[in-house]
Amino acid sequence: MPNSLTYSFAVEAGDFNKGGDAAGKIKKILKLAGLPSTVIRRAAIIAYEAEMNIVIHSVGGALRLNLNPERVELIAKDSGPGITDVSLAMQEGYSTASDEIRALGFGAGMGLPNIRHNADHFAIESQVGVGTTLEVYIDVNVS
Amino acid sequence: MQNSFHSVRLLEDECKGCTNCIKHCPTQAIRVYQGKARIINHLCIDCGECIRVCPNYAKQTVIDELAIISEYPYKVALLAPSFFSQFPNATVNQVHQAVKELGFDMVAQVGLGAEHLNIAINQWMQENPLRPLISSACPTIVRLVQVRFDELIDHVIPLEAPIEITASLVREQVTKEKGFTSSEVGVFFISPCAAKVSAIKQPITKNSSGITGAISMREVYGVILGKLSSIPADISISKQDLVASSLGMLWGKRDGEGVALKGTRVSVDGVYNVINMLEDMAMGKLPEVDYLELQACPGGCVGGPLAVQNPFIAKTRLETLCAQLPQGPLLEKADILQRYRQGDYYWKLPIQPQSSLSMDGDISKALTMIRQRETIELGLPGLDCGACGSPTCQCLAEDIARGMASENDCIFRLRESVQSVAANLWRLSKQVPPTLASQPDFETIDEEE
Repeated sequence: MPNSLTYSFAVEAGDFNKGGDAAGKIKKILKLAGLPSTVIRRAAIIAYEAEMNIVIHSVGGALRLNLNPERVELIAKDSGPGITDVSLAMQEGYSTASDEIRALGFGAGMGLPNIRHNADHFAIESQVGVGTTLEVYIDVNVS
Repeated sequence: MQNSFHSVRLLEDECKGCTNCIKHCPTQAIRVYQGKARIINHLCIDCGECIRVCPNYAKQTVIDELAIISEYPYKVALLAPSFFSQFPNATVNQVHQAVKELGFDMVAQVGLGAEHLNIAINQWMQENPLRPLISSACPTIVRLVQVRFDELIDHVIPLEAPIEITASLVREQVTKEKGFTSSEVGVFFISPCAAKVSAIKQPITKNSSGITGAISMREVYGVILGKLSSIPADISISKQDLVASSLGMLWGKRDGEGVALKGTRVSVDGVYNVINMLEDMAMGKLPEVDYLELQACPGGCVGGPLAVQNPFIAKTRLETLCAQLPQGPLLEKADILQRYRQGDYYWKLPIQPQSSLSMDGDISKALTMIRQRETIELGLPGLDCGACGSPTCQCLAEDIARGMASENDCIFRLRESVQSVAANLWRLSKQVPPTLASQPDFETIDEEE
């Protein structure tokens, strides 16, 4: 059984002030763990995009880190509203973000594609009215 | 370990062991041990914040003394734009003359190297699509990326700093025109900061610097000021001196680097602001920026810890001075592109990442230590008082997990330990030996009778 660490950070909907804090804490942990810089870079980008997705699009949720010497696993889970068409949401440039959110520099429709681009494994499940769960991981040694 | 040289040092006798510097160090590189504020070598980025905040002047820069120049047959002073900003009423020509009266044969303005860089960076940006790019002009920033943001190393523009380019130009000219060998030419930089001293003594991106030594602005300030009053304002500059236009001179202040650069640029000054910016960048927050001009000192080099003048006054002074200079560029673009293609401006060595935060080289062991750190942190008060000698409770918890400190270094934990011992003592003190105690609850033979 490999040595592992687990953290869960609550992410509040609409809280742009704290938005990014969880990703920052995750990055610090990965640095303390001494992971290769390429892994840290990719994980930080994924964590930030996933956290901001919860802030912008959901009613709230949590970002979870499972870390062991072989793998960085990130799970973003929210309690709704869910994505109507996941394959559409995965397309670059597609976003349901409001004009106000876009004015803040978010909602360019690059969040999910960017996460998938930086992950070694990517899975997303969403049910309207229930919520969305995003599970990704990065292999520490391959990259 | 590489890069073990730092020019920021502690003067033990002056240090009172207060916690000003540990609280202000942006990389948490200082701890107070045995009443003295020690700098942890591999974390220090030579930013000089501790020099600024120490009320006892106990943090200093190891630097050459002016007398060292006499060892060289031909002596050249490199003057940064920030140097000219120190003397409110002096012209550029007066400053050249005053510096020569210190014993220098030639003066070269570092702004000239910056002008070369303007053209070289534009070319580099055209050829390399990676964005945002990080300016490599400030050595503290280069070192900061090396120890804290090694995931961003690829974004640092791999071109020499203006002082190194200027030093090469000086050596080229003096050896060609004066007939000296390169080793006979002493090239000295009059520095506004500790970081450039470190970059000269032990460069990160080449094996040895083209600059012979560094002299502190503070050391020469008074002498120059004294000489300036007797130098006429309309004195002319000797033809061999290397001069810059306003384009190069502007590099001495915040927002001055990018004037001639193409694309979207953002300027950040002050080391804490820079760290926030790099954190944002590391999380992919700055997609639309082409060029990040990052300077560790407030206002840019004019706010260097070894500069004397108030940084805001100095910045305004530099702007005024630049308005009077030729607008530039003074250079032949074709010549510079030729040098660029020859590789004249490139780093000779890549930056080696030093992940200074890592708890252990073995990831599994590091994870165990992270877990220990968190357990320890839960037992600390979270007041970040600094009395333990570490800047924050979290930092102390990390130090304990690394085996560099103990839980009783925390005065609150120590007080709890003392309270617990005292409570034990009190409880024990009330215990009476059986010979003196009241009779226990059982029948004795006497009572039966």
